Amino acid sequence: MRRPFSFFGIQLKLFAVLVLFAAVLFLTASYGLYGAYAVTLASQKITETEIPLTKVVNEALVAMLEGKLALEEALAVDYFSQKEEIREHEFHLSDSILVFDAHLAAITWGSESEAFRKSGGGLNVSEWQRLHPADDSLVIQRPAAEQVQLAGVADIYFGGFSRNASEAIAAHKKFLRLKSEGREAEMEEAREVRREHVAKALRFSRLVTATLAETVQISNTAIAESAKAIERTQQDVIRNMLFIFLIGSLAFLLVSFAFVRRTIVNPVQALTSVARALGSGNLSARAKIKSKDEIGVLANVFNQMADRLAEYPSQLEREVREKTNKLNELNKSLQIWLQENDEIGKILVRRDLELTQSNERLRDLDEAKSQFVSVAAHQLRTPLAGIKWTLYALLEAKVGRLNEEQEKFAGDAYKATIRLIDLVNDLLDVARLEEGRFGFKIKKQSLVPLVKKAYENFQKAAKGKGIKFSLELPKEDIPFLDFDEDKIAIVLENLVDNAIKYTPPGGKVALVIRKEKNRVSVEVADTGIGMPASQIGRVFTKFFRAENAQLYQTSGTGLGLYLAQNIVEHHGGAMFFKTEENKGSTFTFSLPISKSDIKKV
Amino acid sequence: MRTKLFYGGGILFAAALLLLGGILLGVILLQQKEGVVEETPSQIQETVLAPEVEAVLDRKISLVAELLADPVILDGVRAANQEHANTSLEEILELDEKWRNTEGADEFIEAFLGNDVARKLMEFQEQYPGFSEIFVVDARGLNVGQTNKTTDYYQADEDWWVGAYDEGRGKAFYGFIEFDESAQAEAISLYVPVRDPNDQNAIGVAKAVVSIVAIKMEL
Repeated sequence: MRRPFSFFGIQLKLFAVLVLFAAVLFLTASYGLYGAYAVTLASQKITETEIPLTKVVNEALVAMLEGKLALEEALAVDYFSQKEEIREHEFHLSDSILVFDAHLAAITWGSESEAFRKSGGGLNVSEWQRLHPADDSLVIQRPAAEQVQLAGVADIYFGGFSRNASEAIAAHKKFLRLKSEGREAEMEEAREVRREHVAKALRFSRLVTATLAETVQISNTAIAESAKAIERTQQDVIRNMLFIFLIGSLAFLLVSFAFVRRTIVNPVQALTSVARALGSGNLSARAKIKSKDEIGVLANVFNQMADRLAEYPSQLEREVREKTNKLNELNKSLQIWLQENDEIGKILVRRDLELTQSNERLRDLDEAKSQFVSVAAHQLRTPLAGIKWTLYALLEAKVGRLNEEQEKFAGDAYKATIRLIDLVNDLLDVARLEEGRFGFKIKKQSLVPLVKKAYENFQKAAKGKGIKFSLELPKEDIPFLDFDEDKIAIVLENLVDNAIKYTPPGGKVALVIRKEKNRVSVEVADTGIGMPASQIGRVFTKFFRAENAQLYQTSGTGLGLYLAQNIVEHHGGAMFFKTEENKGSTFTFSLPISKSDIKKV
Repeated sequence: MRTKLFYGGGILFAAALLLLGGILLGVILLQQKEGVVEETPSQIQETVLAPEVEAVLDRKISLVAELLADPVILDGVRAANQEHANTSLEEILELDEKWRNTEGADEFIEAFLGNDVARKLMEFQEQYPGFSEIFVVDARGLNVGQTNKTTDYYQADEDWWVGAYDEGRGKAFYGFIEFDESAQAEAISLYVPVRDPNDQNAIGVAKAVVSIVAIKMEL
């Protein structure tokens, strides 16, 4: 989960640092732009003012020279008959005046065409445009006031030149006319007037040239200054840009360093040392971090943790002290009690010894009893077999026919002998089981044929008693199990025999095989007499016969279930049951499926 | 949504910071830029004219001085001086303000264009072409009579008036070559004091604008 963007968060501080860096770059770039602007401004002064001005002055100078030339050429005409030629020179002169005026006005009033509209009463615009079609775009922006002044002065001087030049030519024409008429005295007078005007015109032309030269000089100075300013600006800008960048970068570095140091490194180091102090057992150590950023929060949480940690051992110590005190008290009272009861203790020890001895004696006795039962049963089997076969021979009339009464006695004796043999066999089995000499022959095989066989064996007995005996096999395959066929046969025989034995005619006995997750179970369920709840706990003990079973007219040793359970448990299986008096019992035993077989299944 | 809002706040903050820096930089640069422009020398030197031209201008000044010695002018100036002797500067400035804000000519302004002094000046104009504008100002710097409507009523705040009145001593001089808007031509202004014939002290000042063309004609 992202934390909200807190004003004091490290993120914002970092952002501010980056903004500072951006500002440094921005400042440097801005200053560079400013430099470009300043250079442009200075060069504009040259290109938009001084160069056009110089050009205009040059044009004016040329006009001035042309006017002067026109004057000289007009004066060079020697004969009045050539007055047409003089007129031509006069035209040239007035042309040059026009051109001069217009160009000078360009300095004063911005552009030549504008000058025409404003100066000289809008003299002859079309004439000017005819003469200089290409020069109309010449514009002088922001000429220096001094230059404007000089242009005005040059204009006045040029006025002096043009007026005197015209007068001189007029005087020259008069002189030539008088000369052609031969009027000597008047001729001299005209020559004098001509001389005066020529002298004035030449003086004014020199004044014009000087004034214009001064104007150009100012332009040149301005150009030189502008060039210097450009150079200076360039140097300044480069130097200042470097300065700004270096200072800015330095400031950025310092701020970044301070930021990393103050915001991250120092608090983390402080936290580390506090953690180390806590680790070495100084539980009073606390982080002193005031900032409200993420690390500040961490420090706060850390301090809270340290508080808890500091509380814990003192609490523990207190509890231990209290318990120790209590124990000491108890110990004292125990010692007192022990002293008081020393005598009783001695008696108890003696009684314990006696009990152990009698226990050992009892165990010896039990062993001896088992041994005795085993030996006795074994020794009984042979004479019993002798009695059985003797009685059998009598009953089969091998030694002559018995009368009815004799046959009845012999039959009773025979039945009793068979029961006695069964009892002895059971006893022997139990003895062998308890002595561990039962001899299990385990092998992997299917349980199903064994169950089927038990079912078939008891079919006849069940039918004879009018009991419905059923077998239920599972649909799935039953895996092979590890068991001793003979021993499990005893288990089955016992369970089925009991079921049929204790089920009244018309009842039901069901034999069911089930495959469960990791074992196979066999269930023998009957609708017989069941067992009273009070006796359920003793079902699997030796010689147990339920009270109601004893009332029932059947025989039984009470060893079958004991034997069966022991056999099943020997296979790693389990046996259990449920029963209800007069409703029936269900005995189930299960054998485990070996782990490898479980996997296969 | 909350996170986004806070991010927006951060960016806003940064933008404000940048803007502030930019404005600061702009101000600094603007100042520097003005400095660069000011580097161009703008000192106007005293215009030195050729003696021939100065002679013409002196003649023109003499003409004007002659005109100003005319009793009509003197009477007008004296009357104005008398009238304005006790006028407070505040009143003068108020009148000046009103004058400058009036388009064309109202009754007050019309009086200066039609009084005896004005008529005398116009007569002079007709007699000596080239004087595109003449007006007479009294000792307080207030208009007395004029051929054209002046831009303001009060002239004592202008350098030329101060120079020509010269604290009552009176001094005639000519100004720079300028473009005369009313004549639509280049012209030079002549500043001539009105002198009391008795003690030759200045009692007023006249400004006469003479066209360059008129000067050229006499070279």
